[in-house]
Amino acid sequence: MKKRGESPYNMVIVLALICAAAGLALGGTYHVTRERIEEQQRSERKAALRIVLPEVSKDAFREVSVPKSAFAAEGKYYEAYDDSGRLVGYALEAEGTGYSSTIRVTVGVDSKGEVIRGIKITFQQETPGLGANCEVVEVEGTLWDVLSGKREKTAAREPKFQLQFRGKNLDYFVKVGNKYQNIDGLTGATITTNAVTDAVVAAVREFREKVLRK
Amino acid sequence: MRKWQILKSGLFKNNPVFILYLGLCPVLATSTSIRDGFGMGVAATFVLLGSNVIVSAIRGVIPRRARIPCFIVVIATFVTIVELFLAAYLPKLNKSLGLFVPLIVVNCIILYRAESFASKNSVFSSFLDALGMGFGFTLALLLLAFVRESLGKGTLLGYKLIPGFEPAVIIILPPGAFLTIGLLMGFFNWRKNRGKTVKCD
Repeated sequence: MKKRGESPYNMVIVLALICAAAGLALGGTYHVTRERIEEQQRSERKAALRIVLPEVSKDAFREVSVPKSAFAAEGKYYEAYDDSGRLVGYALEAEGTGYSSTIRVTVGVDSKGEVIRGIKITFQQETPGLGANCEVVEVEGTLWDVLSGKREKTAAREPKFQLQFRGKNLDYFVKVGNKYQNIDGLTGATITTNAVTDAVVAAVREFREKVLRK
Repeated sequence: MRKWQILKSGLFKNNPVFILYLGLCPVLATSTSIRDGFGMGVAATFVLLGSNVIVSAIRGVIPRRARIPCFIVVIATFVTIVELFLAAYLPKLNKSLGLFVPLIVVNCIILYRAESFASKNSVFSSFLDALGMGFGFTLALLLLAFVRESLGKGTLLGYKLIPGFEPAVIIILPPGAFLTIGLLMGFFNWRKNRGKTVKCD
């Protein structure tokens, strides 16, 4: 006699029932979280745009669809307007291959496409402690200061590595050998440093050529 | 009293990481900061709780020969739920844990507890077992992350510990993970075996 629950039919039926229950549970979870996830992605993109173009008024970004290129890694870039509706700059989306991941970086340039207003790395999975430092914000004061209440927890500033791009034009980025002379590289992470800088420079250069015709 | 033993055994005597040597890959990879380590520990504990309880509840109907696929479906469901909730409510943590959240599916601890404990014990015992094992896993991650973040970055929770301390970057890098876990494993095994006489030939 076969033991109950050991026939092939039984196996198929039980597994199918478990899968069906799993499907229901996942469908429910997806339904509950979907809006929230989309909202998070939207606000993340908005935050990135506001960091690279700080003077732009809220929500004054217009998406422009173009074929994928060095300045539109996902097939789009953004025009930014100030309160009076004047075009003040563009936000470009660049992409570079780092040491262990694809690095995505949003670049803000002024309306003439000359000066970089700021950059923000929106995705990277580089080595923690080396390449990942490109996103590390240095905190002033020590843990003891914070615990003893000497220093209030301040809102996050921007990472030092990304701040050094602010206010520079393309002539600033001079590559000698495989190193950018004016960029303070990340310790032990030349590949990440170069990947970000290359991507930023290529994005701005190509944007000037193709869109601004300079 | 016995229930208490189930809960406690995962923490020290049968610590999944230091004694059973399971789930080492995520432990080594996500223990570069206390925040990431804690997040990973909690995520894995949640999956462990869910899978242990469900597997134990349906242990009567799971056909023996098809048990592994059944377990995997249950585990993968909980992992996906965790992933969606992380993306919705803790996007920063989700980004820094990256690939290691979906990889909880293949974390040996979870399948091992489903196979060797939950499929043979009551729902309540399995719940306690999952809690103990999950805490043990989280404890391991926190210990490792504490050592690695404080020595390798000179920070705790992102704040500097001692002004002017030059951190030893190697501790944050993969070799440092192996060095640290080796020493901690040595300590836990010494603790487990101390007082016992060992026969040598």
